[in-house]
Amino acid sequence: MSKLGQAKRIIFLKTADGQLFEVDEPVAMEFEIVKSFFDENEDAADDTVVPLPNVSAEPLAGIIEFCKAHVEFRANGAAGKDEVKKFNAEYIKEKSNEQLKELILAANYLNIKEMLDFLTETIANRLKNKSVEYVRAFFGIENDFTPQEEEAVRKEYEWAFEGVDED
Amino acid sequence: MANAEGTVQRRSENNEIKTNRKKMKKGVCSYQSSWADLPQELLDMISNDMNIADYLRFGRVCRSWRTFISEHKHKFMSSQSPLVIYMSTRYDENSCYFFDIITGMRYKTNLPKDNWDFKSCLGVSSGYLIMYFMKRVHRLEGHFCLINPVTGHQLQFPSTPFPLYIINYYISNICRAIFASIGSQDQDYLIVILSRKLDYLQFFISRDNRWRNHSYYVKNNNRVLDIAVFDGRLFVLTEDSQIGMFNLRSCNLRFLELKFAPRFDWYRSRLVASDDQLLIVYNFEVYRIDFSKMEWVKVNNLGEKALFIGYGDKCCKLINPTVWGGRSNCIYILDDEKICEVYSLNGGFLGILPLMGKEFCPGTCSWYFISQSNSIDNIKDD
Repeated sequence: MSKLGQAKRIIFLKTADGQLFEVDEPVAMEFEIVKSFFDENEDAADDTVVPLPNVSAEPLAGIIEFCKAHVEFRANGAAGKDEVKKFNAEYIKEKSNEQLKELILAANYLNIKEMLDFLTETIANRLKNKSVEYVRAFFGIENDFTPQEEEAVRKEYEWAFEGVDED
Repeated sequence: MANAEGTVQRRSENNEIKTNRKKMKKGVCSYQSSWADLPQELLDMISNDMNIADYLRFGRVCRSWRTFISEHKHKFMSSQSPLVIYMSTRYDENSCYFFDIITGMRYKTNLPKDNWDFKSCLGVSSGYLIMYFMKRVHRLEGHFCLINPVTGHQLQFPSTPFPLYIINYYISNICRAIFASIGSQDQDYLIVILSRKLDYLQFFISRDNRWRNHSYYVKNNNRVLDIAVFDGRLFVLTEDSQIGMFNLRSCNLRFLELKFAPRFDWYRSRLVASDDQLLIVYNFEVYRIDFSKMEWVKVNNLGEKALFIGYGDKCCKLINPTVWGGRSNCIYILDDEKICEVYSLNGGFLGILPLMGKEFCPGTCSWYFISQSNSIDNIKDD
């Protein structure tokens, strides 16, 4: 354990594709799965490598970037301020749907509540007021209904609510 | 799966087991998984941030999302704030609108295309709009169309033998219209119309295929003020504060022997069946019928619930507003002034919720509780 006090503790994380990440302790502790790993293994050595067999390097790097920024925001008392919103908006702007999916699956596995809330809200926004066909194309989802099911779905939703844009 | 074998520096067996257990619990593999395979907990989080229209559309994208929606729809709909349903002032527009009093979101749903010149919504019952369609030239020619604006299910009923004097949206002699199923098979439907002007309680059961009626005046020439379906029976409230059960088969009205009945001004008191209770609402006073003691009980506290009263007392319900951040133990009243007023049970004014600020036909404005759009009140068949 970090008995030396001053020295910043580093947590080692190993991704499914074999990459080793060195992460500052406060950032790594944002990951509930890492936190509980150390809670359950109090005698774990400082250089223990935490395996993350469900996460690959690319999304992990993105998640570390996000969590690092948010840990800093909290330390500076900026949580909930415009600065955070600006960072989040910039962060997500550059992400493709594929990257977004990898991020959300990884964040879910690592169990990072703040990031998950942000990502799920982002996805809900991307689905807002979009047609079914648009959503399928946008997220690369195949229409896997049989013609009979398709007909049943169509009938069921023929009347469905439409959102009305403010005019 | 590529694992961290050989690269692990110091890791006990114990750690390995625990990590594996987590992995299995989540069951997530980020490789090759498609958006369609998002785990349920993520679909749940995403859908919680959606509005009703997006949510319903979400269920049409693919099989797995559809399965998710069908399993979680009820929970989602129950967490939605109440909607105000209203029709456009344009009589040629085949749509009705819904306004969410909390989020301000507006929705639209199409009504059936028709060749009728005039339509009026007589009420909302069991999640269905009770619409009356008429020809402009022949006022007497008309029919009822019951429409569930969420599922699109429709039922037609012929017009009453005694004409309904519905001059326009504002003037209607109907004080209550009820739609319910009858019998245990859920295949026979019923509408009951209480008309003030015609002095009749009229009802139509689909299997009988004919209208029957009962006088609006009952025992000692007292009028029927209101009707409600409660616990499989059709209840009536009369102006001398009598509560009766109406038998549709025998067309017979049997009054209950109840203690402590208060006296009311006949016009404003309403019978509300909701939340397994039979309530009588008179201005801001609420009474409950205690069937075990056979007495009227004044309700001074609604607990977590709040009472929602529609314009013209259409669609009154007792619901729990805490799920969407509303206020408990109070009365939400829809006014025709485009606002919803909130009062305490002793009549104290608590506040106003602005409504859509759009032109709408006041007579068509009602509460719509989307979580109840799929449950039809049932009347026992005996």
